[in-house]
Amino acid sequence: MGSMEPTDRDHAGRMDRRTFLRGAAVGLGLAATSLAGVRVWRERHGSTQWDAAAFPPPGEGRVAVLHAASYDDGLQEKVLDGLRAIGADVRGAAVLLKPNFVEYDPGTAINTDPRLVVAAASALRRLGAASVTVGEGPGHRRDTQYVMTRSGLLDALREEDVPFVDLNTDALVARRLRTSFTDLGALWLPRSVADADIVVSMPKMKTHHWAGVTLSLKNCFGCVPGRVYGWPKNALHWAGLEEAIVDVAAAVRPDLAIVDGIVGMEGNGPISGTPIASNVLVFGNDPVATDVVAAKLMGFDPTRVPHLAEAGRFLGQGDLGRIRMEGEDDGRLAKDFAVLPAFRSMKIEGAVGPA
Amino acid sequence: MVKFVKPSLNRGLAGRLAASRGADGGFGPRVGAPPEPEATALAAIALDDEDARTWLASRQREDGSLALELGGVDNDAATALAAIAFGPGEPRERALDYLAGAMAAAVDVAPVNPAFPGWPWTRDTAGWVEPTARTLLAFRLFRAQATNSIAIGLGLLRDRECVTGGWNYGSRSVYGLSLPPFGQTTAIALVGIQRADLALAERGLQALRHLWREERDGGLTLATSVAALGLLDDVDHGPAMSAMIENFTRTDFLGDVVALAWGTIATGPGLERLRVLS
Repeated sequence: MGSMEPTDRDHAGRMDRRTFLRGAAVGLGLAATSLAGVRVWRERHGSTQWDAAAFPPPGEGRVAVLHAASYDDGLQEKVLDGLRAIGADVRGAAVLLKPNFVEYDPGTAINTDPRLVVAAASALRRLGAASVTVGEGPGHRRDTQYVMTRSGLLDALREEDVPFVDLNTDALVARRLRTSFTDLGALWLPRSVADADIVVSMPKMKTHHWAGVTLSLKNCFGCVPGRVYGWPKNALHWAGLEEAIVDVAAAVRPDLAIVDGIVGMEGNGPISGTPIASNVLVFGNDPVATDVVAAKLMGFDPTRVPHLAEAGRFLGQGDLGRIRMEGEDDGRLAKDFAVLPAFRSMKIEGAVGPA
Repeated sequence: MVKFVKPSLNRGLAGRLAASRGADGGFGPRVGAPPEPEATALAAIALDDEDARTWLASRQREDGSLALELGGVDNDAATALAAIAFGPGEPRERALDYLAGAMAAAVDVAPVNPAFPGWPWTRDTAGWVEPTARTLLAFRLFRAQATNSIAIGLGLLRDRECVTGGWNYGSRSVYGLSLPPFGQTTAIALVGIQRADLALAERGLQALRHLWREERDGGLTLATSVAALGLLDDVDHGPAMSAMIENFTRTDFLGDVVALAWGTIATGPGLERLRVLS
């Protein structure tokens, strides 16, 4: 395999690469101090970074927030409740369930809990999905077998006869981007992602030391193969992390989102943060709306998280006032996630969390 | 030197690897997937496979590289492996010529030393441990006179060494927080270094001796570890090989062809193709 051109015209409008994101691209942790905020983002990108024909104006998103005390009791019923609350229709569909497995580190809250992944797979089957496959392409470890085995996911899936596909080694499909926040122009996507009728993004609720939060949009990084984009998907960081989050999410376009916030991660996420018992599950039929609600639950002002603010302009519903809330009182379930100092400006005033 | 070739062990891995060959002679990253440069180069080394070399030569670009390319991303990191896989001759020399001019973009941000940019996963981006170690190995095997390239490769690996020895992907720290070494990246770094810096290699070996045990659920980690331990004649080579074979027998490495190829290299004559004689 060598060069492959996307099937139709390439995008125009290339952005300048930024030095701080180059720092981030080698894992140096500089981006946070340089996050310029939504205003600077828009000055940089203007307002025509997506193909309007491909992205009709976002409608009303439906999001359900449910309390969940632990991973042990009634999880499958809880997931069913959440999926029904958002009107998820998966009947007859081939579903690709994309959890967030980045790294294995015992005692931390890096990954979506395997028990929740299995509960979601079972719930999707009960709702009539023709097939459910779990797929992940870990961004922080090249050895997928190691992460999936040590985390317990492979055994848990095997017990329920749920197939797993390593998205880092899956066959590739070239997809032209209909957005141009980065200069990537096109992406290789795993065939399992491209061929799925429904993609469910299933992230861990975490802070992120370069993007503020990592939720269902950022989770889409695990859909692009490391063997093309490097480990830890560094070509995406080099292209501009926040911009790449929007471009990749717009290419994957998850249909549903289930956020694992039963135990989240605060502080220096997404790897080195601290577990926080946030006791919540967030379901949505619109990943942008889901992330906006989840970010608010974490004490973030979603309009100050650049990739959420930008995705909310075209990819999904970013206006909290236009999101139909189901389930429980999301205000009661909010937790104030601690952030690194560079991200305090993204937090809701009075909710900056511990230092 | 310890005799590392294990014919009976190697036959199982090699047979599985050979069975994953595509109709055109190339190898995909997973059993049944379309061929790509990295898996094909490793399989060519592992099996001493002429069809795989022919496939590689047919995909070599005019500039000498082999790549996965789409849009703004050009992943040329398999070029070093292809240079090793090719026999003596023009394709190898063209690949090495390309590598000499394809160093990573310099990043002048502490704690990274910009004097040692190394080699990237994707063209014109930052340098990382694995692609740098592969390139270092290719130069040390076949172009020892490329002293500047070799110094830059070794320099990056010295610069990025974790505080506790061994290697993470690219940096030793983020936000002042020391990063832990990983088994697979540490093993690949050691394959590149071998005896070029004995103290560096010994610290890496010390890290690897516990990393492969901690990460023994990973076939790729075990396979690369066995290769590194074998090249450095380490006492852990035998135990690590046993663990790898047990994993392979039980899991087939999940069909990961890159892991199968490294396992085949580690247990067969392919390992000697990676050994730097100095």
